Amino acid sequence: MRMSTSMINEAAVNAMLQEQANLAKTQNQLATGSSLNSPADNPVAAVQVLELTNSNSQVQQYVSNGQSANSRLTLQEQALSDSTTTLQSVRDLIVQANSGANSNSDFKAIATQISSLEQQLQGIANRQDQQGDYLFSGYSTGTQPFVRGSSGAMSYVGDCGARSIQLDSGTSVQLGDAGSAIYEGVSTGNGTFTTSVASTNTGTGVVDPGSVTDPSAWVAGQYTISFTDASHWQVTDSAGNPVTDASGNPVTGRYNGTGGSVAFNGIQVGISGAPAAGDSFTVSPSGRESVFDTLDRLVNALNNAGSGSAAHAQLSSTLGGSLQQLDQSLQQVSRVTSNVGARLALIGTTATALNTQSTTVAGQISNLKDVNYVAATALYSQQYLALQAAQASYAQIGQLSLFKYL
Amino acid sequence: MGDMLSTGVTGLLAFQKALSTISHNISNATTPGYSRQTVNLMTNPADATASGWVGNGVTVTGIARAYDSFLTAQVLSANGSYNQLNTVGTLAGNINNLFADSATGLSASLQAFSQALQTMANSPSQSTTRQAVLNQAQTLISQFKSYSSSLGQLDSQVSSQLNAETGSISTLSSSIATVNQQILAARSQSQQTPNDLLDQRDQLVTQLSQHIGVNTVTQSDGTVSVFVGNGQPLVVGVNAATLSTGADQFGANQLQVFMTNASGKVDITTSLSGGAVGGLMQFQKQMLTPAHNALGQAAVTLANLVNAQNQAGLDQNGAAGANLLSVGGPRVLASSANSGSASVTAAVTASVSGDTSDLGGLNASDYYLNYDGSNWSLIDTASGVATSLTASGSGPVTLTGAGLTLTVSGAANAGDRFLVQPTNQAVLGLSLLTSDPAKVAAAAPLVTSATATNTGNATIDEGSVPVMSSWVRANYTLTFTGANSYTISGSNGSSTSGSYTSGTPISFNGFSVVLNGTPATGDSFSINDNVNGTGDNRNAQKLAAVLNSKVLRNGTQSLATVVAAYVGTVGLQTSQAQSGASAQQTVLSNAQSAQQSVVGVNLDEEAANLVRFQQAYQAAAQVIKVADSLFQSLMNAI
Repeated sequence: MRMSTSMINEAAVNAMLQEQANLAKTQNQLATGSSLNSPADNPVAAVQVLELTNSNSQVQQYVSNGQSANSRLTLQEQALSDSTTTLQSVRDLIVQANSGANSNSDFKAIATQISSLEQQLQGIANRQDQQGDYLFSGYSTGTQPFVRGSSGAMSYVGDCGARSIQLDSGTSVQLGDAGSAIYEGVSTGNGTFTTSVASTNTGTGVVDPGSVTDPSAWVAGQYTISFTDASHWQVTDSAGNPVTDASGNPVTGRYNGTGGSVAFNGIQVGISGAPAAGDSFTVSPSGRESVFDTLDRLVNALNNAGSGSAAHAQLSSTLGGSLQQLDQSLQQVSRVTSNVGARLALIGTTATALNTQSTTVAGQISNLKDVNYVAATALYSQQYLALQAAQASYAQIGQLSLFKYL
Repeated sequence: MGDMLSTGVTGLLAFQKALSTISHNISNATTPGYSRQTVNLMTNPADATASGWVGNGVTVTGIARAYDSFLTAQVLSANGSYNQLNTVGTLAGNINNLFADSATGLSASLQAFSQALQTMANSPSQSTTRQAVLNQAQTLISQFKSYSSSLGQLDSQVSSQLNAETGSISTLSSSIATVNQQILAARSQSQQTPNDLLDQRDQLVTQLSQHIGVNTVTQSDGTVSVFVGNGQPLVVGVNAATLSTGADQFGANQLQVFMTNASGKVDITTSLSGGAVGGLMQFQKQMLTPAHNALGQAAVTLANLVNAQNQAGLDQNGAAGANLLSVGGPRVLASSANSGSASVTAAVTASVSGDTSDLGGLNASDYYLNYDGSNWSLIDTASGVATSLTASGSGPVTLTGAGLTLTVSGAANAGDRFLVQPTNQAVLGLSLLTSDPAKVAAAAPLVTSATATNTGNATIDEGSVPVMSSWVRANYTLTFTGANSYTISGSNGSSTSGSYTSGTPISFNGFSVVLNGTPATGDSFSINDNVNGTGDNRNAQKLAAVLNSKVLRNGTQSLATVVAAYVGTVGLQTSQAQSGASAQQTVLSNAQSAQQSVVGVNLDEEAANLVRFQQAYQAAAQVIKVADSLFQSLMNAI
């Protein structure tokens, strides 16, 4: 093919310009360490990098969510553990009060101690986190959850909300527990029924909290165990009709004067001491009560303990019931505590999984984006050489002219 | 011997012309558009003698330029295509760089906003985390605005470039017409072709092909006619048309190209292709307008999603959430050619209905709204595809389609047209509506609970308020009057009763709750106004999730994925334009090489020819010397 002189020059110059552009691009990749300096370099990888970067920052957000949840739940765990300790102290005091060798002034002293422990518990239940939010007031974190109303009774004024935090795309953890779920709604008595002593009793009969022997036979209702004389009892329902056993006979029994149990409708109630004729004990279905009400009743009972053996027997029954009640409260608190513990464990395992995920994603981003230095360096030397060759050959071709020989 | 002398002289004269042509070639070796010239030599007619035909020397019949019309046409076409793609590639690089940075781009800002919302969800009562949400929203808005203004700058760059291009084209077309005129004049003086004028004209046409795609037709009188687009005559003989820019019939920002010649002024925008003008048009149509619209679509989506979710919650003061963001609405422009009195307003359906799933139909497209006398149709300006449109009402007529609600008031005539730009202006109106961090609605409206003394096992869900405006705010108590019947009484004195089925929603006064299980008679549940719920983060979590909720593209894509995918689209278009330009450059340089190999000057060749004709000239001179010495010999003999 015939070549024109300008074409020879132009071709050589174009080749050099092209090589220079390639060299500049490779140099830029080496300098920035990134092979993806604009979406046009590799549109598919650019989108992937964006999505992976998004997912990585999302993972970082989940990690920080977990840290924030962790610090709050740790505070809760501490508060719950303090609640347990306080309730244990109350329990010890009840046991001490019920040991039988206490005078009314002892009861009053114990009542004072329990009362101060109750205040301590209220303080715990009203704890705030580092930001001033109440731990146990549900969503109403600005409202102090446990306050004494004008009637003197403690009431919960928070709500039942429990906010949760996203730990991972599909996992969220409940962050709070409403105070009502911790300190309120404790089943009274043994969870099925409560026992109590009629205030008019004249004997020293003491009733224990009782137990359920056959849950299917239990018919919820109020029953009265009344002693027709010191050694005979009978059971009547709320309408005053005698309670019958499976064969239709009225449930009655003999009492040996020191202790025995009354069984009917699948439950069993222990009675000890010496009930007098006309004394009665009541069995009612369990309701629900707050810890504070239990403690209030206890303090009230201790403060107002009457004198005489009959009054002490009544107090003893109340103390026995309170002990049972307190154990229920402790169980409720420990249930919540173990839930919190499980949540903390979940946060821990999720954090580990998130770290792995983050490392993987970072690796993927690096694969897509980071320059392969070996390949890029090799390419750079190659392009450098090509440019040198183009320049050298151009310099030589430029020397060629027939006019030089004319 | 006289013959010998005159024969020698013909050689001298011919070789002189040949030598001056060679020196013309050498002198113009680097002149752009120059075609090498050669002398055509022919023997003079011989004289008949008895002993045979005696030659009479040589004559120059003409000076021809090397030319190949096919190769020239190839260069013109390749030049047009290359300049179009190169213009697109260069401009696309600007958009590409705009969206390039994955650490600071729109996608990252959206993510940062979503994360600020999540951090707020971790401690919704803190004004610092709430403030951070507003700050991130502001950052996001600034980013939208900065992108929009960068695109606006590109838009004005395209406009001013288009003005400059049409100016250059008009100048070149009139130059070509002038050269045509000169060629006509030259041809009337001599039958020989005016080579240098032809070169000059070819060079002008080649220059023109950088600006716009051209076709040329050589007429029998030697002039060349130049056509652009689909055969619009730019130069015919000695008459040139001018190109100019102006607004279209809708008065939109986009410039149109008009051609003015003796028969008037016509809009030739849609038919143009090739050259820098073609590139500008392609860039504007395929990248710049879609980029503007896509950015606007993202802004509209963001604002609607955030507003709808914020409205579904309660703010820190316990008040119903309000809109957090405002965004520019659709723009409707009437054609200046409309004869009817109809005016059209448009709104994004989702912002009218409050239902974010209506965003699914909204596209980053512009539409023509056409009236044929009885029906309205909505045509995508880019693809020409009609979008289904549902009409209802009369005076005003409401049209819904493409995620838009259009209201036509007044009477339209057949043939009336409107340009509908759903998202083009959205970013302009994007702003944060509040500076009060308390206005972020982190809390859900209801807080439900079972009464602690309930003995049944029925449970209540967290409840919902489907439409905030129809919710009568009060604290409600649902009490079971039997195992299957309940009453609801509100603190505002309202009450209702109904029969209970486990799992069936119970609605009253705008709220809805679902109870499951078996309640006991007397069990009660509270459904309270969450007015004090400063620690509630339920709505905050939903706010943080809206960017990932799949509402776009008919409910298949989330805002985050659409924005990320859009960056990929820009990258792909840029890389296509750039690699297309580089491929077309190869085509162009091959065509130029092929053309140059025919028409270009090779100095070595000229040197050889120089030597050749120098020797011939010297030989011819020698012939005269010999003739002279022959004549002298004869004289001496006398």
